[in-house]
Amino acid sequence: MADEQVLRAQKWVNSHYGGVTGYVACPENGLTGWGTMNSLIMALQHELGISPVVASFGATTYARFDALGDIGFEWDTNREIVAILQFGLWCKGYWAVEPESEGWFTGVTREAVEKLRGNMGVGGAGVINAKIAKALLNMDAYVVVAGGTDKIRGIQQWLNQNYWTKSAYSIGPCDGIYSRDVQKSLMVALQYELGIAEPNGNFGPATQAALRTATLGEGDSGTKVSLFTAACVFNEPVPIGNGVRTTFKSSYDSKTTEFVKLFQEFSYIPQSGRGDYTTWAQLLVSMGDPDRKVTGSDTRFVISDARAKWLHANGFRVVGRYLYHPDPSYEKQIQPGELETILSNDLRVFPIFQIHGRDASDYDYPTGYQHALKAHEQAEGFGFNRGTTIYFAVDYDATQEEIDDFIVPYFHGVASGLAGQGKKYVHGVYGSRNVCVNITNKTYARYSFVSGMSWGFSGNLGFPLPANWSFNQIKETSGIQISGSAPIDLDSDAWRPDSDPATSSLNIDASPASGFIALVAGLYDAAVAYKASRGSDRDASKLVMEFMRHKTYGGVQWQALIGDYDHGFVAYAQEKGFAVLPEFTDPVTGYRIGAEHMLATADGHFVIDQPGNPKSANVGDITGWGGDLMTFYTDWRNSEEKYASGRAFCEAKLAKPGVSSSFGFTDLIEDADGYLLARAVRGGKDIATAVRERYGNGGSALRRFTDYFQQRWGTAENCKQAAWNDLTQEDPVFDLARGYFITLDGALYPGVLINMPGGSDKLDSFVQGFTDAVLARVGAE
Amino acid sequence: MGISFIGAVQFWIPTAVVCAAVAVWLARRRRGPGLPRPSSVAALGVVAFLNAATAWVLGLSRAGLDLREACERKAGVPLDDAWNAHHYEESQKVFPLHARCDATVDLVPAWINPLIVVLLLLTAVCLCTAVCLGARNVTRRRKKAHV
Repeated sequence: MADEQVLRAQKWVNSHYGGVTGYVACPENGLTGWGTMNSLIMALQHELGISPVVASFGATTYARFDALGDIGFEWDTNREIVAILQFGLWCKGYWAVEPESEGWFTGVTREAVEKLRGNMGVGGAGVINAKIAKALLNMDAYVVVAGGTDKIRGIQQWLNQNYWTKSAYSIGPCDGIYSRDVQKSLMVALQYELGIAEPNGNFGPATQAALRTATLGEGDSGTKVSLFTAACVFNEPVPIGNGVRTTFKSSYDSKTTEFVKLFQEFSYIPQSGRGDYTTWAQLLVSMGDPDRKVTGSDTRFVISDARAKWLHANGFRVVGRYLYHPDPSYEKQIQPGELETILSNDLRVFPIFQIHGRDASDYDYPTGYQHALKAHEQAEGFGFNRGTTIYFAVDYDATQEEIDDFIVPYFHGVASGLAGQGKKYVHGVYGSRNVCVNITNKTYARYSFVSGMSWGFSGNLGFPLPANWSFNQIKETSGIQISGSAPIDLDSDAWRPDSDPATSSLNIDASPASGFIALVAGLYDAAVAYKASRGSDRDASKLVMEFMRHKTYGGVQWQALIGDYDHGFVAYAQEKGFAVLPEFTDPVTGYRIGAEHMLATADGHFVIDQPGNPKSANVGDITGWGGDLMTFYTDWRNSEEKYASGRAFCEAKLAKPGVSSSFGFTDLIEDADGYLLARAVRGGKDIATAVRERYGNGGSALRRFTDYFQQRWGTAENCKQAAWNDLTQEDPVFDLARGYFITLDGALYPGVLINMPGGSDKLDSFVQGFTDAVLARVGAE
Repeated sequence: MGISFIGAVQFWIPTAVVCAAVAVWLARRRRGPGLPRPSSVAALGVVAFLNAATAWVLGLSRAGLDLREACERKAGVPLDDAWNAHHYEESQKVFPLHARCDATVDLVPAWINPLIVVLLLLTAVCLCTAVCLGARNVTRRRKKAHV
C-alpha cells in the first residue's frame, strides 16, 4: 500500500536532484524500495561533494559523512542532509519530523532516531553518525517482519549492540529472519572474538585455524558460547522428530549438549556434543569441515577398474556419475560397462543429469520436460533399477527470484516428464541449499544433493541444510594420481546414512513397493482361507486392513471409532508367518510411506463410507484427513505468533516434504491412498488387486491426488466446506476428537475461535489453505 | 512431553462445572449435625466417578489416533517397532493406560493410573456408604413405625 510520506520523499528527492550527474530517479509510487533508498544515497553523495553520484553507500560516502561527526538536535550545517536523513526515516517507517518541516533536526527527529537505534539494538542518544546513516539508507528492517521471530531478532540486536562500533562490522537487520547478512555479521563478530587481524566475514584459513583452538563444551560460558548458540539457533530446527530447537545463551549447559548431538547426528558428523572445529564449521558454512572423511564422491571422469579400486581403497563407497553428455564419447557421460565395473568393485553409484545448467536461461518447463525424457531414456539404457533417484543439476548461484521464475518451472517439467514415462525414476535436485529446499517443497524432489563446497553462494549462506539431504559436496580435489590411470578430478561428498541408498544392482524392474504388494497378496489369500475355515463374516480385504493396523492403530480409540480388529485372524496370520510391514517405498515419489497408517485409514473409510454430501465430514474422515487436519490446526494455533494467517501456515507447513509438521507430505499420501484403496474395495475389488493396481509398475498412484480430490470432494468449495465442518460441526464424536487433538494440547477450540472478533475469517483462511494445498498437489500431477 | 496444563484445565471444565453444581446443591440442602443424607454421599460418589472418567480420557488421549506420530511429536522419540511388535497390547488396554514408545518412554503420565484407582475407590466407598446410610434410614423408619 502506498505511503503518503514515502511518496513525498520520492517527489522531493527527484525534484531536488534530478539534474545531478549520475542521479537515477526513483519511481514515485509511495512504496519503499531500493530505488528510493538509492536515490537518497545519491542525493547524500551530492551534498557531500561526490561526483558523479552512484547508487552505493561506499567507502568515500562513509568517510565524507564520518567527517561531519554526529548529526543531532539542532544540527544545521547542511539542512539538505538533515532532510535526506529524515526522508530515510520516513521510508523506514519512523515519524521523522512534522511533515513539510524536513531540514530541521527537531526533538521529534531526535525521538525517531532514538527509537531507530533502540530497534537496531545499539541504543544511545538520538544522533546519526556514518554507521547509523548507512544502515538508515538501506532496505534492512529493524522490527520483526512476517516470518521472523523474536528469538532471531534478539540475536541480531545482541550482535549489533556488541560489535557495531568495530570497524569491520556493519549494522545488520533486526527483522527476526536468518539471512546471508546475519550470517556475515555473526562471522565478523566471531572473527573479532578469535582475534583475527582483519575480520572480513569469510571462512578463510586464519579463521579455520583459530576455530581449531576454540572448542567449547558443557560448563563453558562467555561470548564465544553466545556466538556458538547463536549459530545453533540459526541452524534450527534440526529436522528430527518434531523439529528440535534450542535457545541463545552465554552458558554451555546440558540442553546445549543435547541439541548439538542432534545437530551432529543430522549433519552426519561425530556426535561429541561439543563445539569442536567440525561442529563450528558445520554451523557456519555449507561444506562444514572440508577435510573430514567421507564415503561419497562424484566425478566427470569415467570410473575404470583402476579408479574404482583406488576409490574403494581410499574409503569411498559411492560415486555420482553423469547420465548424459551431448557427445556420448566424452567421458563425462557414463560409458558402456562402467557401471558394472563400479559395482564389481563394491561401490555404489548415483545418477546425475546436467546439460549446461549454469544460467537461469537454461531453465524452463519445456526444457525440464525434455530433460526428463532424455534422463529416463539414458537411465533405462544403462540399466538403472526402477525407483532410482536421478539428480537434476542447478550448477550456479540461483537467486530466489530465479528459483521462482525459472528453476521451479523446470522441475515441474522434470516431474511431468518422468511421470509421462510411468515414473520409473524419481527426481532429486543438485544445487545450493536454497535451491534444494525450494525444489523439494514445491516439486517434491526425493533427495537433495547439496553443492555445499560453494559456501559463498547466496543460496548457501543463511540457509540451513535441507531436511532431505542425501549428499553434501564438500571438497574438490584436482589431478588425483592413480596408478594405471590418468589423473582425475574428484568431488568429495558426505553421504548421509538412511538416505538415498544409491544403486548397487542393475536391471531390476520390480516396483519398489513389490514387497508390500506381495505381502498384501499373501495376507489376502490367508484371509480367504481363514474365512473358509473359521467362518468369519468379515470381508477378507478388511481382515487384511485390520492385520496391518493392529499393532499401532488398534487401541481403545480405534475400537471406539471403527471397532476392534479380528484377534483370531491376527493370530492365524502370525502363525502363518506374516508380520506387519511398517512402511514401504512409494514408487511415484520415492518417499517411504506408512503402511500401517494408510491401511488404518483405509479401514476407517471402508467401515464408514464417505458422506453423501461431499461438504460434510464423518467419522471415516477422522481416521484420515480429518484427524490430521485437527492436529494441524492445533499446531497453527500454537504458532500464531509467527503465522497469524492460517493460509500462510498451510503454505509453509502442510504436506511439504522435508518440513517438520503434524500433517506432512507422506501423511497426505497415506490419507489419499487409504481413501482410494477403501473406495476400490467398496467398489468390489479385493485389497490385493487394489494394492497391485495402485503400486505396480505404471500404477494408478500416479494420479493419486487428482483421484482423491475428485472422488472425495469434487470441487474446491466442497473441500473447503468439508474442512470447515471437520473443525466446527457439532457432533459428539467430533467434539471428543477435537477435545483430544485440540483442547488437550492447549489450543483454542475452533468453535470458540469463530465466535471471537475476526475469528471466523481466520478459520476461513486456514481451511482455504488446506484446500489450496490439496489443489497444489493435484496441479502437480 | 507432559500434558498441556491449559489444555488439561480446558478439558476438565465440563467436569468441574458439574462438580460445582453438585457442591452448590449439597451446600443448600445441608442439615445440622449428624450423618449426611445418602443422596448427598451418592452425589459425591458420582463426582468422584466423573473425575475418574475424565482422568481416564485424559490418559487415553496421550496416544491420540497415531501412536507413532505421538511418540515423535510429544516425546521426541521414534516408536520402537521391534519393541512394539511384542508389547503393543500394553498400549491397547482399557486399564491400566499406557502409550509406550519403547521400553522406557510411556506417554501416559505416571500419576494418571494411580489417580484413576484412587477416584474409583472413592466412588466405591461413597456409593457403599450411601447404600448403608439408606438401609439404616429405612430400618430406623420401620422401627419408628412399629413403635
